[in-house]
Amino acid sequence: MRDELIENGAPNLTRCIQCGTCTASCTVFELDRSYNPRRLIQVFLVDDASSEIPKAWLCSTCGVCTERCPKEVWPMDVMLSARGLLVRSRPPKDMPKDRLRSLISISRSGFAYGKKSGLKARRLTLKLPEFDLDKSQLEQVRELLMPSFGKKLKRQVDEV
Amino acid sequence: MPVTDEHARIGVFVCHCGKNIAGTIDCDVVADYAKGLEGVVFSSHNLYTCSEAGQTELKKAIADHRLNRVVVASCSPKMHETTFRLCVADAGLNPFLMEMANIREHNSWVHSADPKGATRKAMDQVKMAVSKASLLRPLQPIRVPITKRALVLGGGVSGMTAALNIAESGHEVILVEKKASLGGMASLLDKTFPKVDCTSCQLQDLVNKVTSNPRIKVLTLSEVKEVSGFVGNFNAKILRRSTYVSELCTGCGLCLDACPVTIPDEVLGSMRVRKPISLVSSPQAPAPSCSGRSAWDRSTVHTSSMPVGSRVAVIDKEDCTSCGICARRCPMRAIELDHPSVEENHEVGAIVVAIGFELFDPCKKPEYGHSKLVDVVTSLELERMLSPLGPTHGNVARPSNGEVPGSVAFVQCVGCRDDKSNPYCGRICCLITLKQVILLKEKYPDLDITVFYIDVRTGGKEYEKLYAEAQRLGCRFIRGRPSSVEGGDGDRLIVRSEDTLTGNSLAESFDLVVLAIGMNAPEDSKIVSAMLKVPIDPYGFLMEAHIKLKPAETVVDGVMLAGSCSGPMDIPSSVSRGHASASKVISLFSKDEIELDPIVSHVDLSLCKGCLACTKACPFQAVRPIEVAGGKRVEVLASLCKGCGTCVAGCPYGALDQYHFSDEQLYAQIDAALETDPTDKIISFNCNWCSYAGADFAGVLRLQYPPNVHIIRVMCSGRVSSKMILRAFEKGAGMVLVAPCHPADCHYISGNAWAKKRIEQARNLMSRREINPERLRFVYVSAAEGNVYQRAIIEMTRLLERMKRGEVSWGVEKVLQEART
Repeated sequence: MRDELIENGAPNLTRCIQCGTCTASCTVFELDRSYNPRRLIQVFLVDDASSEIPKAWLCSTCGVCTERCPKEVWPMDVMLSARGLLVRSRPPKDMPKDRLRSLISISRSGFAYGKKSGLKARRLTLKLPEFDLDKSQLEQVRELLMPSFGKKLKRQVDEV
Repeated sequence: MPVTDEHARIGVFVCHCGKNIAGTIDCDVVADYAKGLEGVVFSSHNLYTCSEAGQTELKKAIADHRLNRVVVASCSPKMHETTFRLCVADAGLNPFLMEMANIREHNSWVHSADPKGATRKAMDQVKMAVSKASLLRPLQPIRVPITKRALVLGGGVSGMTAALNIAESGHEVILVEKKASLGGMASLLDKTFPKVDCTSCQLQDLVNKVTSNPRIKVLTLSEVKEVSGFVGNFNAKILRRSTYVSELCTGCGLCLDACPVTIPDEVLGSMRVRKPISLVSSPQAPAPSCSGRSAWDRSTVHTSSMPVGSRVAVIDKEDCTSCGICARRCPMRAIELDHPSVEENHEVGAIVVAIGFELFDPCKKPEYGHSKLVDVVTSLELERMLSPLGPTHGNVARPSNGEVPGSVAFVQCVGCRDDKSNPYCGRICCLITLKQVILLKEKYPDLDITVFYIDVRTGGKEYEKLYAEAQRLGCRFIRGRPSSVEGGDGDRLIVRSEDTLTGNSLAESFDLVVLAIGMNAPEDSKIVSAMLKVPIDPYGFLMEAHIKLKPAETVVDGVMLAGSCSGPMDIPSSVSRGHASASKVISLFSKDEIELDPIVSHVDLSLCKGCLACTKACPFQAVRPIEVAGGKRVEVLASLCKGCGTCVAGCPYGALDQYHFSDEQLYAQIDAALETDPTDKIISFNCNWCSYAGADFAGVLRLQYPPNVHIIRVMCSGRVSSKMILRAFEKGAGMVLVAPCHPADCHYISGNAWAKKRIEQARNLMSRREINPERLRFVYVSAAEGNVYQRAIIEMTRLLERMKRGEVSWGVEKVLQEART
């Protein structure tokens, strides 16, 4: 697990000295004590992390830990690296529901929150260029996403 | 070119080293073979050439056969070169007319499974040594006189210790201090660990000894502006800034009251402003021991904790507006605002750099709120509060309201173990905090103290006791590095941290937060480095010659380091480094002359075109441009030259050469090695300090590798030119290896970096001449990496075999054709 995490985007993982600055900075830990980034990193480093790794989904990616970490471990990147592994290797049941919905939405429309007419109108009022994916582009997006989908998710997408 | 006027008469002595060599190599055959080599008039083999009997035999042979060159085929020259040099000198030969062939470490020990190959290699090695020996020239050591006067930069604990030691051994010392008074950072401390005893009692004693020693000239408010020369013969230009106050000053302090200018204090920026005038202990008049308190408490925050005896006023002109109010107020008419600063020149033989450290600037960690939240102070600011001579007369007060705090938090590792500031451990911050906890608890037993730490580091005798004492006194230790210090309810401060041992989060309120700030490299280290050519490390500290074995010396002969300018250090270490640097100076001064190694570079002015490529290659500024009638040329200052030969390899016109490792001698070795079966052979250029010793170590460990490698010893890999590499390929060498020290380990600072550049050049030239660039290898080998060297040779031999089988191209046809025509 350790080496995969390092490979997948946490190059300085082994530099952690367990000082706890990340946890002390963590906005999620304030609300949910089950998410302790320092502890999670320790588990990633020395333990079988298979039961703990889904906690990486709780990170809000605010980045304060990464800003303050004295050892450039970049805890936020560690969590993103862990999510990458989760998406690639696990059935999607570990994934929080809203993320799942986003994935399905992206594969359908190219947009994380669906292609809503309201959105289109707001883009216009904000003078943003019109943005749409044509069929071949959408095909490309799916191609990129598919390897990350578990079988169940794939079925859900295919059904659509 | 004839070597000397006489014909070379070479004697070859093959050593058995008991069974060490003779057990693998047929020494009889080797000695016999040597007889047939050009210039050899005598050869023999003996059981132990280094033994008394062996040496007597060698000396006898020199006399009997009128030998003028000697080749000893035995162990590594790193083992016995000095022995045999002294031996031939004893017989009346110049010691540099002896050459060694290393047939033990580089042969019998590493080829014990292949006696025939080993014997063949030994013959080649003897041939190489003979061909170099016939070109050897007598050399005389360079002798230079020594000025027995030392210059010490910095009047802190370490600099004063060094100065005092040197002076007590009978030599003159010039002690230069930038500030107005001696004592350095230690003078700001009230009590010091491990004994938690009074600083000023000890420091004042040291200051008194220094100022009353007739051999020490103390120059305060002074700076060294320029240093020229070399070991034993430096010339230092020193700027002595005026104090603008004459000796009439009585230290009454009326000028201080009168002065309208206020400036923020450098050390205690957030706590106090200071004035351009300060009262300092007069270096000429020692102060009494620690009893009384100054009448000028308001000024003492920025001067020292040293008790007041004879104080005098000094004015710092950088901040002074020259309004003249003080001069009018002075009852003694002692202030002369137009008094000029002077520059002095001093001849010195050695320099001790003891410029100390600077404190980490806590504003670089904005999350901890220093200078935004007034009740966040640094460890030094607390230290000053704890001092009876400090701004609060020894009472700890919250800067916001002057009240005694009910709770104090210490935040450790501020600016330490932190890749965003200083990656190293500050080493003393834990101990300072423990000391301050003890002092606080003694004074305020009910005070709540919490220390937020990552690790409490108390290495060394006596130090763990401080930790135990702080625990006993009821200090709370929380293992967690705080994320932030914020303003909280009312005027209290909130420290956010995790208790990593329980996994709980803490957001507690405190009255006072102390940031345990670490030690930074001094800003002046850059100036000193440029002035004295002493390299600085990645953190900005001045670099020792060797971090373990030569902590007091630098790579510049005659320049020593003392105290925390070379890294974070506590007072005991600073004192011992002061002693260490003094002992190096004293041993230098114990001689009237110094002998410098004559293996230096020299220039042929008729060939020099003044391109100055060599001056860039020399890290010691020993090769310098000079103006002659025909334009620019260079000169080599033999006394500055360390003998790496990096400049020689960098000269495109062949105008530079190195004694004892001349182009001619090295080419002769290459040619001799490649006389027979060149394509089977690997020529390996090994630097004297790392890879040659690494190959020796492979021998010591009996690591076996094929006997087709021939090692040519150079002082530094920087000596190897691309021309030299191509010469080997022109002579048909199968492969060439250049083995330098690891990137940061070069004995000559940057020789290996130049070697790397030249390897790239050589590879380009090789591809242009259709030689497969794969045949040139560059492998870092340290003196302990015998296995790395072994692996390199085995891998290269494997490639060589593939080339022989036609699986890999030699790409050599064109070169051989060129060589033939």
